[in-house]
Amino acid sequence: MHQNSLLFLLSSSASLALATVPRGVSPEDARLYAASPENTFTCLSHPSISISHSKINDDYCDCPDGSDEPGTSACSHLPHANIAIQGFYCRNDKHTPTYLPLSRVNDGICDHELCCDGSDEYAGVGGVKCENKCGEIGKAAQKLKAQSEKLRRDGAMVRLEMVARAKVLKRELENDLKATTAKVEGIVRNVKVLEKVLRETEERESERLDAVKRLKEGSKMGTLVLAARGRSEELKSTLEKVKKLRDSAVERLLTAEGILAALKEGYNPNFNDEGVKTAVRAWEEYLAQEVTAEKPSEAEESDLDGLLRTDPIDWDEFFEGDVVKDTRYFFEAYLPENTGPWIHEMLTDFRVMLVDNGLLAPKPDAPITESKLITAARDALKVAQKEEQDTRNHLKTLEEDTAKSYGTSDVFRPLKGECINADFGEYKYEFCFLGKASQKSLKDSSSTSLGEFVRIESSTEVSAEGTSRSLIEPGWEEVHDEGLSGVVMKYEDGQQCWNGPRRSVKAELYCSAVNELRDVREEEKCVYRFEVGTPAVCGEDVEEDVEEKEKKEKEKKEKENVIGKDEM
Amino acid sequence: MLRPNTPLPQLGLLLISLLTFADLAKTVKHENFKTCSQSGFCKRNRALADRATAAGASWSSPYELNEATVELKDGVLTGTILKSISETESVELPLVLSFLDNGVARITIDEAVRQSGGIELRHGSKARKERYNEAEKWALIGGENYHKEAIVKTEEGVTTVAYGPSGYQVKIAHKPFSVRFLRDGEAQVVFNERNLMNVEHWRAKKEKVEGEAEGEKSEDEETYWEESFGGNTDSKPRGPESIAMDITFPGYDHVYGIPEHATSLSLKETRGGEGAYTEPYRLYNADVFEYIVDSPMTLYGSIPFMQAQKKGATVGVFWLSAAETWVDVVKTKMNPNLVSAERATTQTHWISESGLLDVFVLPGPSSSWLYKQYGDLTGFTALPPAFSIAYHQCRWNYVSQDDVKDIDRNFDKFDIPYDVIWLDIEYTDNKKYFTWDPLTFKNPVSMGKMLAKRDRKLVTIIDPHIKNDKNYAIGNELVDKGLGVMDKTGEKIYEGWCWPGSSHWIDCFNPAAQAWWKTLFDFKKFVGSGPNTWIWNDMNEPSVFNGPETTMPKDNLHHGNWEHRDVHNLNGMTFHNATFEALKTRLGPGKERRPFVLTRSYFAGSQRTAAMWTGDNQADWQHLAQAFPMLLAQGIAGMPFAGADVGGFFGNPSKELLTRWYQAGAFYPFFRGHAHIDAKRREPYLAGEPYTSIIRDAIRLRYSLLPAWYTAFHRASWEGMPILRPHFVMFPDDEEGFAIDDQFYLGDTGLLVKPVVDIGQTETMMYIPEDGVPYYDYANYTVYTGHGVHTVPSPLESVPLLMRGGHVIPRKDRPRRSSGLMKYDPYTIVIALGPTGGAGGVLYVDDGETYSYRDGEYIHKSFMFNPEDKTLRTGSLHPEPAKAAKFVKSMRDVRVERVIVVGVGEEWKGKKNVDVKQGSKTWKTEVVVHESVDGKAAYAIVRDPKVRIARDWSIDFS
Repeated sequence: MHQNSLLFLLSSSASLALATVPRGVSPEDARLYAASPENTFTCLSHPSISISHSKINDDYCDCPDGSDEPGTSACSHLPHANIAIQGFYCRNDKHTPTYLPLSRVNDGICDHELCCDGSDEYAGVGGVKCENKCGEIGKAAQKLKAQSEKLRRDGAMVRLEMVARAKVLKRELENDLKATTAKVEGIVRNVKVLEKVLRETEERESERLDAVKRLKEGSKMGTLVLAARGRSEELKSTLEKVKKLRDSAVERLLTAEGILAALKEGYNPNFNDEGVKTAVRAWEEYLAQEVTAEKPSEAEESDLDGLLRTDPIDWDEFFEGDVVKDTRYFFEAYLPENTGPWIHEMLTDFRVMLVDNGLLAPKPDAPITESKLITAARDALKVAQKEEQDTRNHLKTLEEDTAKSYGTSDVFRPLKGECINADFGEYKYEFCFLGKASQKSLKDSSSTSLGEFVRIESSTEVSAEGTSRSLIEPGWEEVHDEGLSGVVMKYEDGQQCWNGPRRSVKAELYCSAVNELRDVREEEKCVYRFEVGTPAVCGEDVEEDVEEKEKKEKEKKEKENVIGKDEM
Repeated sequence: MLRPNTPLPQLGLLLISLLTFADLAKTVKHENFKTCSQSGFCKRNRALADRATAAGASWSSPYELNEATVELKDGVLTGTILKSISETESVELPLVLSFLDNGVARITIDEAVRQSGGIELRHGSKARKERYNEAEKWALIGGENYHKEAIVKTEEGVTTVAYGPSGYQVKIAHKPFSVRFLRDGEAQVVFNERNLMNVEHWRAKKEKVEGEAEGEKSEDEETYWEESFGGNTDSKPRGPESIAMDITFPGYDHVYGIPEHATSLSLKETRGGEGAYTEPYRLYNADVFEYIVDSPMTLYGSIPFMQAQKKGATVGVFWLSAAETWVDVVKTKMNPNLVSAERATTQTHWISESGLLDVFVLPGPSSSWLYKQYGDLTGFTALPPAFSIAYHQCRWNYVSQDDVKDIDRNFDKFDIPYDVIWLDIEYTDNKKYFTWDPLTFKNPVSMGKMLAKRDRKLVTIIDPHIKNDKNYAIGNELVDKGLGVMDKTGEKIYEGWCWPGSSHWIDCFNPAAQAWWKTLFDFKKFVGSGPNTWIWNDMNEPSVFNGPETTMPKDNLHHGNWEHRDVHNLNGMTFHNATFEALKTRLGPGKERRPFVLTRSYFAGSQRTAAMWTGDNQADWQHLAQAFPMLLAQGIAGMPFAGADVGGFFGNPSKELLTRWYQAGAFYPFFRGHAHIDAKRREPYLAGEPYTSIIRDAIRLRYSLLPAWYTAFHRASWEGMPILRPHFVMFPDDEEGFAIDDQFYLGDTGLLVKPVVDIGQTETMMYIPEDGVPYYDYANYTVYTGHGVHTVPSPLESVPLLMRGGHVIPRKDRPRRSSGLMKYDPYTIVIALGPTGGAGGVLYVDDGETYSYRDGEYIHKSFMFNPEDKTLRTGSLHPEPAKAAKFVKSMRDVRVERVIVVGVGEEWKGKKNVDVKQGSKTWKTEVVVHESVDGKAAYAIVRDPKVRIARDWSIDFS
């Protein structure tokens, strides 16, 4: 090696004489390495340090920025931040020139994926010889490039169609939105009219009833009845509240029991976790106790419902009852208890019908019931109100959809609901654009939700179009990561993980002529990373995203300024 | 201040924070492991100690050496100790005291009736009747150089033997039996000074007689015949059989060693009082889940070697028992009126459940002698393959081949060196070792080759539990060939639970099992493994999920019908030894390679075949701080190839903690990042800036110092000197430094490091002994001089690291993707000048993978900077340089690219050239002298002297 490197030194000084470029320097940077009149070289980012020009590439690091050793590994120990050059320049004739990290120069490894010309191992460390593979690699890379360009073009075409389709969909949406808005207005008007009708009907009826109904509210009994009625209503509403609370408590208990049952079912006894074991044991004991625990019977439950539904006491009757007779004068009192109300209602309806039609005089002490007119008016209003609610809900959905981001140019809109799937490891993964993501075990076909779409984000993980590593090292084609667009779809709130978070997916999108799922990795426990190909990201999205980002940043800065001022 | 009741809310807050802390702090499940009082024999012996203490002078020991039986022949003294068990009866305990040339002495006490097999076992047990006497077979490689010229003399009930180097004597008092080890007339170690010696002799179980008064038992006999713990019952077929001895170190105030415990380097007392534990140190290899720091609890491995230190002298004892062992430590002030009131005597009490009482006394009197003596007995740490002291990247788990490739690619992308990627249990097909998950690791061979391209390695885990599954060929072979550990009947293979569910355990005590194990690593058998696949042996305590204390029942039977109780602490070692032997010869005859095996469980002797790590630590600052004392203790106990999981196994470290942990890990002999399956990914490149760059720098620092590390490993491999050297080893006269365990020296390099192990610590206090030597900051050469504590800046991006004057440090300053790719890179030689302007150091180099160094194929060099003529000279330490010819030839182009001399004087100013001489040639080379500024030392850099590392040369600076 000694001889080799001496030879190399000679040849490099010879090449200097010919005013060619030092090893590891690109033609564009060659001028930086031209000898000064004093035959010195000045470290690129340290103008105060000048060294003899012959010290360039002499395999000794003189410049604190590494600039004197572009063609050796002598400065590779410098912290990244201090290094002023991009690395070792590989010309790679017949392929694309690149820079190799300095630490890879003369380390005994042919780094063909970056330096296809093999120029990085000129010292023959450990006897290594690297052939120039740029011919074959360049050709393969060109083919690959052509393929990927074609793919891009095809993808871009599809994308254009998608954008057009998105526009149509958006327009349809907007039309629907407009129509629905108008519809809502109409319904609101109608509701108002109906409300007015009801109000008037009620007023009319109430006047009529007032005339026939004389309450002796001043009497002692009247006061008691009023108080009792108030109290009863209070009790009823409290009972209602308590029941609601109980129902929700029962529901929560059931959920909690479900969790514990799942724990018992799903825990791995191999993980010698005392905590889990204790929990399972306690749950089993709890279950054993539960058998004897009291549960309300169905009958008790329906009694409770009955208590809430109907008020068995006709309070109004008692206002009259002061002057009026025993119950025995009412034949209804002799009817079986549960048929009573029904018969009563029938009779009342019948009587109201007679009164309404003038066949019967209104009974001064008749129990107060609603006239058919009011009922009809109320029903009409109810129908109208329901329609209003429904239409408003629809409107809301439309509005939300309009506000939702479907990516630049709305391009993802047509993808909504479209699903793709692929097998990785022991699972079949399904990915629905803007919908759900899930995995299905190939062993037992059990299915697990990995999350639902929440938003589109831009990622820092924008990666270069395929390096040529896959051309050189068989096996590398399995690892992708290439050509990622930087557009990411996030899916969250999937099934809870044993001893972990809820499952979630980060889908990195790349340009592809068809929708496809090319890679799935569980990066963290229950945190998945998908690589999803779609034409939707073939095109100008990235740049637009950058613009958007800049805009956001600008806004943020302005905001900060404002805050700064406020603090002043 | 505003309200009169402010103290109350504060108190409340305090309570809340205490509660929160208690809530959040994950701690070991203490109830899973025994305390001394739950371990019958420990409780009995401790009670005996208490009775003896209470009785004071009236306490009498029942042990007497029968003078008539004493005989010394060829350096071995034999005799019989009689244990009186009633007025008329006594038990014969044969005694062997052997004396070695180097001053080491060994006491062995057995039990006659058991030697002859004259006992009856309960429950019809097939267990062996002898006391276990094969621990030496596993632990020792030497100890047979008897000092045949030893002289014996008996007078007035005392037998005196003079032996070994001059001035060494042993005085054996006959009644009661005690042994004093003296040097130059002064006792260094005393056995049975406190009369706590106890050999529980065999006795038949007396069935309970009606009406016998319970209270008359002199001892706690309830645990004689049966013991239950955690739902498991130990049938104890031989009844009580513990052994115990008190060992006193007169005038020695510090004791170290007996790993593995998460405790301080200088061992604390164990019988209560301020700053003391209340439990003895326990040695019973166990899979302790979420272990806590600052505790005498047992952990995964055990080495019953203890070193005692006093000013100017050191001494050691090695308690050779593989059974469960407890050690009490107390210190007594000798004379409180003395000015040196700190000088105390350390009294220890060693208690083992079964086996021989077999103890070595190692005389020192210096640490380097002591470690040599210990290494001569149990072997030295193997010279590891070079890659294994570089950086390892691990996680439970890298889930697929693509995942592995992805990690590999990202390390390159971020320009971070690494040598080894690891696969934890999930790579297997359903926890069946020697298989691969068919869905996630479809083509492990291609993965291995991909790693090999950049000289990287793969380590896969292989554990001793073998899945009990009819469709698993290896599992069936184990059962069919009868190579598993048997249950207490000795007729049925033991079945327990571990990762695969129902499992059997290979019994590597059985030579046939070792031979079979070897066959499994054949590339044709372990398909998918390759020459760059190495092995991680975990769970070899053994860990049994449903066993007592998460391990095997003590009445299980091993090869030769030894009870598990007798051999427990050896179990892990037999397993990693078998793995080592298998890997060594994988490539076929004549192509032996130095294996790399990592083990969790270990015993004295494990250093010969494996590296260890401190098991399942946690991602918190306490565990980061705890690691160094533990690793230092490993070095004391002869097993220096040790590390702790960088980042902490359980939990998620903050970025600051992770960064500091990498800086600390760069100074672990075994340097591996690892994480639990539930932890977030934390590969260095994920940390983001500035952390990733700081971590990269820490890993690069390790790579640049690899020549120094390898040299330190080399010295450990033949002299036993620890790689991480505590203060007391470096400065045996500086009592102030005896308890220091948070800063240490790296080998002979004089590098003094104190990695930051606390949050937000931008300054670090470093102690400098009274050695009158300047210490230079490693990065900027700031000078620290003078005895005492110095403040060293330690912002996040820096590790407090000083170079002690007088040393020479070899480096390689070209970080490559893996250490293998640095093989032919040039050296940088750093010379830190001492107070008189001189310095010296060593470099050892070999091929880093084969055993050819044993045939002399290595370079071993000294560097001496002579202050008289200001000349740096190299010299060869190779006794037979001709034997190194082949290796030297392969290294002939490797040069020294730079020599840095730190701490140069005024007279160096203006120097432009130095004279270089190599062989018969001389030439001049450029030197640049940088003057001293702002408390930084002046230094000179020789620019590319063009000298070769394999040659001898000199540089004249005068």
